[in-house]
Amino acid sequence: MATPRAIAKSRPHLRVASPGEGPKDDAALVVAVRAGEPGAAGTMWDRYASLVRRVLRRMLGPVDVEDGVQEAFLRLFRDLGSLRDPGSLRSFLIGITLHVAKTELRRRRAKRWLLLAADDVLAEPEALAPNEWHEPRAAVLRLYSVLDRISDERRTVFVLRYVEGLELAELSVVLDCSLATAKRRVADAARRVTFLAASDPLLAPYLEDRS
Amino acid sequence: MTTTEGREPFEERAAGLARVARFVDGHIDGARDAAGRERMLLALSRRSRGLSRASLARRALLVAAALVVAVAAGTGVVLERGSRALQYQVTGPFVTEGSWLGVAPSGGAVAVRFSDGTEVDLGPGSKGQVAEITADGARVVLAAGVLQARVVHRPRARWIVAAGPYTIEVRGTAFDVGWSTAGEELDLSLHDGSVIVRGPSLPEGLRVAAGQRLIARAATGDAQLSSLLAPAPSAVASVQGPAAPTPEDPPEEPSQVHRASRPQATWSEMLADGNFRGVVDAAEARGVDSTLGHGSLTDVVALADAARYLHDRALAKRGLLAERARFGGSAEARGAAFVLGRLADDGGARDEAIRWYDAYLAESPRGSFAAEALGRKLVALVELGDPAGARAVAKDYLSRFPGGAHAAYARDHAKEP
Repeated sequence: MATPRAIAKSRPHLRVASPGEGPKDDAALVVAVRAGEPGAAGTMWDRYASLVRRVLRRMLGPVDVEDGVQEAFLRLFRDLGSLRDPGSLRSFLIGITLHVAKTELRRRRAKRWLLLAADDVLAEPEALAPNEWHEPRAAVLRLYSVLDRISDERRTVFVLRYVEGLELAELSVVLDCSLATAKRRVADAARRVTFLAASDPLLAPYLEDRS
Repeated sequence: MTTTEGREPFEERAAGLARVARFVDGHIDGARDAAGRERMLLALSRRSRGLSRASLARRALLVAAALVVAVAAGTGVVLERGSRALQYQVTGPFVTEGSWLGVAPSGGAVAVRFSDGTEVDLGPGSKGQVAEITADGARVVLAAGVLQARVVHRPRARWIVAAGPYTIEVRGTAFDVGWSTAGEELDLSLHDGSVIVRGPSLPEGLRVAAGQRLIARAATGDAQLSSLLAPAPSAVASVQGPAAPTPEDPPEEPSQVHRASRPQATWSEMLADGNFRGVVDAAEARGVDSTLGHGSLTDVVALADAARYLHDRALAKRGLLAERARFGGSAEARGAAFVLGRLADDGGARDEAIRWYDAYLAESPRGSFAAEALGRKLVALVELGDPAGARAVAKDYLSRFPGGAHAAYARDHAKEP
């Protein structure tokens, strides 16, 4: 009986990798993608598309980010050769995703400057899940309005640390800075976001209620 | 002050706020995910065959389009200001008095964003202005209240923040500064970089570095420099002298600590710091009735907000009603109508909530909370079992806020039976 690997070699275009298949760890996956192994790129998608999508949406707000997901993956495959430690694939990919998100934020800002628009609220927010109540949705829109008023750097730090829950060590890798600097930037971002959100009636309850 | 987990209060609050962003997730249905996967694999296979002439042509078009956009954007900026000076935009609930920007005590912070990326925020109850602007920076004056700044470091950048008789010279840094007119007190906290502060008793300038806090009083000429990590200044001394070199890594313990106790913060400052209990305690010490009956608008607003954040609805309502009774016509009084509606709504008093939402919408038809007020009115009408009224409001909502948070809900209730 032919092994899956033998099938892959003989009929590469019919090979379909399921999420459970493929290299077990990231380092092996990176090696597989670099070697052009059939199915490796698909496995990369299966393993990380949801992370990329989530980080993009949390950076940009509740909007469609599928083009951004594509761009992040194409950049990943283009730049994978420069990844020195294959085991740090996740941090590397988060860094690329942030780059895509910041490009989109700059594009939005340029559009606002061009149109001289004053209102930073998302113009066409994509609906949250249908079963979600309007209160959180309204709060989400207010929060992203607040995030539109801070620097991309602070926005990134707030999202990664507090929303995504990255540990300081990983955050310092993603941000390419020392642990002490990461710590200082986290405090700075937290101070700034809470300062802006404190007097918003829709956001204030979330500041005080952490249940 | 830190929490039991060792985190600063503002970090705890940021963690609470992050729950809002977690309503946004990366979920997508399987079919769309599969389509994205296929699209990505197809793009990879095309890339491996190299760029076709058509794709190169598309790239050239994109570059040309980007250039057109860049030129157009540049033209727009020049047309707006007519010089090479930096540009800035102001967003948030501000009022103008001549060239001054005033921020309502309960209306949120006002963001001033400069075209080089520098950000200056005026806190609730503050007043300030961009007094001068050049290609290299600006002079921002804080007349009262709290200001947060993050100045982008650039060669030749020159920024000055003036507060009372003090000037803060900045090249690239992040800091918070407060100026109390009553106490003639400057309160400066440096989070990044360094600045030079000049003023009474500091004629040659005092360099304040990241991680340090300076409190200076104009009346006495006292200046207290301490670490941001220190609980409170403890020693007594006076700081004077020329600017000293900035250490790369400022010490974590108090470096130059010079005064016994920190002066009392204003209620607005306590509110901005999240010290809601402190505001209520101070009001009780002064007398709540006296505060509501005779206190300044700033204090009444701070008390009402603090009570609201502490879930003391009765006190919050008294404060908000006092704002409307005593300061009718002010931005604060108009905003109080919406908040009173929220309070009634949260307490299940739908009829009362609708009356307040109507009052807000009548007084502030294009106000910051107009969409929320109309959306919440719609929800209240539905819950009161008034489909005809809800339908009319739903249609009104969709015509005014088609992309608003209640749009989907409004579409459901705008349909004719």
